[in-house]
Amino acid sequence: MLFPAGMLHAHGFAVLIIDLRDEGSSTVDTGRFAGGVGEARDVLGAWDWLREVQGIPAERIGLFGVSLGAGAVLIAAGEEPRVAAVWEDSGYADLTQVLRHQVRSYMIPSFFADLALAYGRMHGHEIAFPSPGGEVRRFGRRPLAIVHGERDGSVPVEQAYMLIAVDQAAGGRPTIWLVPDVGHTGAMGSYPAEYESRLAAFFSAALGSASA
Amino acid sequence: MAFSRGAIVRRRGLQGGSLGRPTRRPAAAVGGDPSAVVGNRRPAASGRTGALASEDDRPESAAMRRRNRRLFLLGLAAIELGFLVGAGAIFTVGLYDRLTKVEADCGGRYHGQTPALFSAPVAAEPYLMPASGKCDFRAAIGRSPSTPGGCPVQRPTPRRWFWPTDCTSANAPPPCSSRPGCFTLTGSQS
Repeated sequence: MLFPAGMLHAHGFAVLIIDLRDEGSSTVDTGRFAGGVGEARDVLGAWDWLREVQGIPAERIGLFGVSLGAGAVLIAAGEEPRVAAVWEDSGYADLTQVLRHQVRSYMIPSFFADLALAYGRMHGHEIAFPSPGGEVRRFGRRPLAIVHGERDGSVPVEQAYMLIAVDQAAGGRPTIWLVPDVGHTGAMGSYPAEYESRLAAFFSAALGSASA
Repeated sequence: MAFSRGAIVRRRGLQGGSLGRPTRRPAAAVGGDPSAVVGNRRPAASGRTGALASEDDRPESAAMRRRNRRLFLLGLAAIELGFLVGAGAIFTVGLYDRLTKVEADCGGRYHGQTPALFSAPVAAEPYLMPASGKCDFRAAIGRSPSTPGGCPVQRPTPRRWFWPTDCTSANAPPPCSSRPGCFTLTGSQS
């Protein structure tokens, strides 16, 4: 997160980075990630804080997320129609499919992922619903950038295809950057200059220039 | 079979003949059709049981043995199934733990380092943000404002209950992370 935050900062954007629940210095609640479902509330809490305490208008606030954070910002923007723009990098449309893929990569039958999710659900941890893909349907024409490495072994690039399809079906025109030779979240490290220029251009167009 | 038949003939001959010579026996018993000898040992079709009663029970015993074996195998299969289900359940729980536990990214590893985020040497490029501050978001999840012991304030919208404090506020609410249903979000801003 520091890398893109630094990029945005260099272009004059003010950046607020939060540690999602159970991460970094934020309180460890369950010690488990919530699939973006719980984390989306953290994002919206920070969004509230920016609007109400810092007095920043909603149309000047965009969201940025990578991987799990991407899932969280997609869900948050789906729930909050006033979120102005979203940049997601290596996010997912359907966590269940991603977990099945990851389980298969351990040479374990993929139905165990469903069993594991069902086990979590039995204990009150619903981490796969609402799905980021479902929430993107509510984006309408809001600016959305989708970045994904085509060699992503953790979150297959098909998840990006799904997000693109859903957003286009909802009338959106997503900004798409599928990087052929990088893995999970690798675009910013492999092509920092291009990443920076694309990132700054996207948020400048969506939120207005940073100095405005 | 030929030797057996010969033995029968010799024995019966000794019992029946006065001079040690074989007594004439019906052709069927002496040689001829061997099935006749075996046939004498079969239960009579007329229902004659008597001395052959134990032999009559044989089919039932075999059926019982088969049934017992089936039951045994069924029990064995049930036990194996139980073991499999148990092992599968344990495996599933372990897998859930592996899939969802926060440890691969930031949880723990960078704990307590948030204030130093902006000076972290993450890249050769000077992506440093000198003007940074640290804010704590006091959050009360699922608690109402009137709940005794709950966090001080909650947002009116039910989807999230955050009490964001001003970084510079002297009246920031006390930490609520130790209370049930509360947690703290930490953030940094440039």
